[in-house]
Amino acid sequence: MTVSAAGQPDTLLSLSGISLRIAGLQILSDVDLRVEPGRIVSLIGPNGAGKTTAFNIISGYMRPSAGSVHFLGQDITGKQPHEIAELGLVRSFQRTNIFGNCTVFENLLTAFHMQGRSGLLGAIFRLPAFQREEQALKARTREMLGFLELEHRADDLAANLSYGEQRLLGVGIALAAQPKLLLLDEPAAGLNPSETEDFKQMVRRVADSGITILLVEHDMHMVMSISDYIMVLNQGHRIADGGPADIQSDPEVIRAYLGSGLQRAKA
Amino acid sequence: MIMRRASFLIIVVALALLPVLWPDPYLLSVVAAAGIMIIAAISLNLLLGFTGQLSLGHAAFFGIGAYTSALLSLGFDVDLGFSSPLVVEPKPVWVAFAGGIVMASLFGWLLGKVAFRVRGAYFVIVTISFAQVMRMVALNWVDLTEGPMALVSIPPLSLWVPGDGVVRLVSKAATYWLVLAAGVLAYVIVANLVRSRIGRAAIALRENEVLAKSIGIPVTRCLIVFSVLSAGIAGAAGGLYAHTVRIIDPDVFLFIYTITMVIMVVAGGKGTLAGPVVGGLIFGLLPEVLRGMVAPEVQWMIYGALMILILLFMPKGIVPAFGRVLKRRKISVRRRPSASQGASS
Ligand SMILES: Nc1ncnc2c1ncn2[C@@H]1O[C@H](COP(=O)(O)OP(=O)(O)OP(=O)(O)O)[C@@H](O)[C@H]1O
Ligand SMILES: [Mg+2]
Repeated sequence: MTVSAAGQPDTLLSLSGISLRIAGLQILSDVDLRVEPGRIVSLIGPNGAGKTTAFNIISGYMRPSAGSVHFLGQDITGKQPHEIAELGLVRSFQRTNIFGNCTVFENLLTAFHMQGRSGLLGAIFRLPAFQREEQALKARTREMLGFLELEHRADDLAANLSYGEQRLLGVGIALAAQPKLLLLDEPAAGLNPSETEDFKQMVRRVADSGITILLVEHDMHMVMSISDYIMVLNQGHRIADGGPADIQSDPEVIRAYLGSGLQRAKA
Repeated sequence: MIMRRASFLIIVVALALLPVLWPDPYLLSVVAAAGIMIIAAISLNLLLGFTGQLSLGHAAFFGIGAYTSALLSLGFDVDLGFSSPLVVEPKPVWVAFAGGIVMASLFGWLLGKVAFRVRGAYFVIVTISFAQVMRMVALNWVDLTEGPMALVSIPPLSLWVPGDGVVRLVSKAATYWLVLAAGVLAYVIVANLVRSRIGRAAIALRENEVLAKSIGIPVTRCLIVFSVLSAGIAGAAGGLYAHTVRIIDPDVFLFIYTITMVIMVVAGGKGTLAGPVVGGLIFGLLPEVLRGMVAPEVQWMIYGALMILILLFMPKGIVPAFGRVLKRRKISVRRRPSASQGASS
């Protein structure tokens, strides 16, 4: 691992030679990826390319058949999802994922789990340290509600939110876990253009706050306008990587994905 | 918050005054017996209601607590095949009681470990079998448990009271107060636990395990903690049973007791604090209320019909159903003055 003069590791996340076979199907083949800190990196490709599968492997929900994942210089291949989250690698989900029977406030308060320390005795006896911590977590929850602009929904059940609000809450839950690297799996899927624009602004603000972002997204306007670096997957293979301009002019990418994608975006 | 505390205190004081206002020994013993089942239901709710794990062997923890506490207080000797038999002198009753809680918690820890290896229907079967095995042990390990002859003459719990010295808690009123105190304690422990970081983690695990993991919640550890606490409280209920009824036999492990606890929790509202108390009062007292009125078979039919009716009309249980009604009223009360704002402010 190389370390720059400032003591920061040059690479936050790296996948090397990641392959996955399930039941004879080759879902990912020898995928390499490096994510540098402070960047917005996008992972794109047609449906079924293996993007979500790559996220599942990075975040510990699936084990690769071969290859390794390093985060902050540490080998995290095969670690449990909660252990990976504790290191500061947090993912959101493609299908909306919230605690539906809890209020929006409770959803976010729960998501601040790793920011608390209090244990059983503190909780049972309501010790002063426990009470202080609860107050602090609640204050941070209100702050997060403000950031998401969901204050007016605080006491509503998460299941009763609109689709767009649920997507937003899903990202808020991941953010509350204080990631160093945030994996977003199609956060803007199903949003209308103005919601998508709001979302893009939010992703920018998150990135500006110092959180590195790895994004899977089909909305090419969004991807091309906010990404520093893009990797294209097709049928489990990496077919290209580079800056937005390189990707847009790459003949193979256009053939495999962007051709139809650009037409869709223009329509 | 303050309202909630005040109404809780009023209810506890009212319950504490019952032996004074209505000193009917039969009534007090019936309510105390229901109270012990309510404590068991509260403990089951911790697992079933808050972590979402269906354990159908909960009577096992109750029975382990009862037998351990009874045996430690009576003393016992067993031949484990070594040169000399293991002899345990009778222990002070409260020490024995604590021992029962510890033993039940240990088994709770084991169950928690198992729960993450076998999930869903298999877990349910494991828990049922666990209680069955315990019953077989209690029936057949006659040297230790007296088997079907039952353990008798179990000493009662005692308390040092200023002025009176050490008092054996044997009167109906004393038993009632003992159970009430234990019940309030169990309720407060569960309430504080659930409204905390670890309680939220358990609810997260129940609601959406995949999402819970993604925000760093160690679901295995969380489940084990809840399993241990749940078993410990059930063990305490078992200990209370042993030292108040003062005779126990292997039937404490019967499936019907687990089912009774499940009915109390589900009818009252699983995952709510008051649910097991409300459900426990209804289904704990109903058999006694009906006993004088109708034939036993009619009794059980009414019991079953009531259960079905509750679940049909209040699928989430009584407490959530009434909670909704109260909330609706509160909102409408709050809205009304806003129509004439000048007067209200
Ligand atoms: N657990 C699994 N078992 C078998 N096949 C799987 C499994 N998970 C994913 N796949 C297959 O792997 C391929 C990649 O799926 P993946 O969900 O990663 O695609 P994706 O790039 O995220 O697509 P989309 O853009 O539609 O979300 C698909 O063909 C899918 O059917
Ligand atoms: Mg996907």
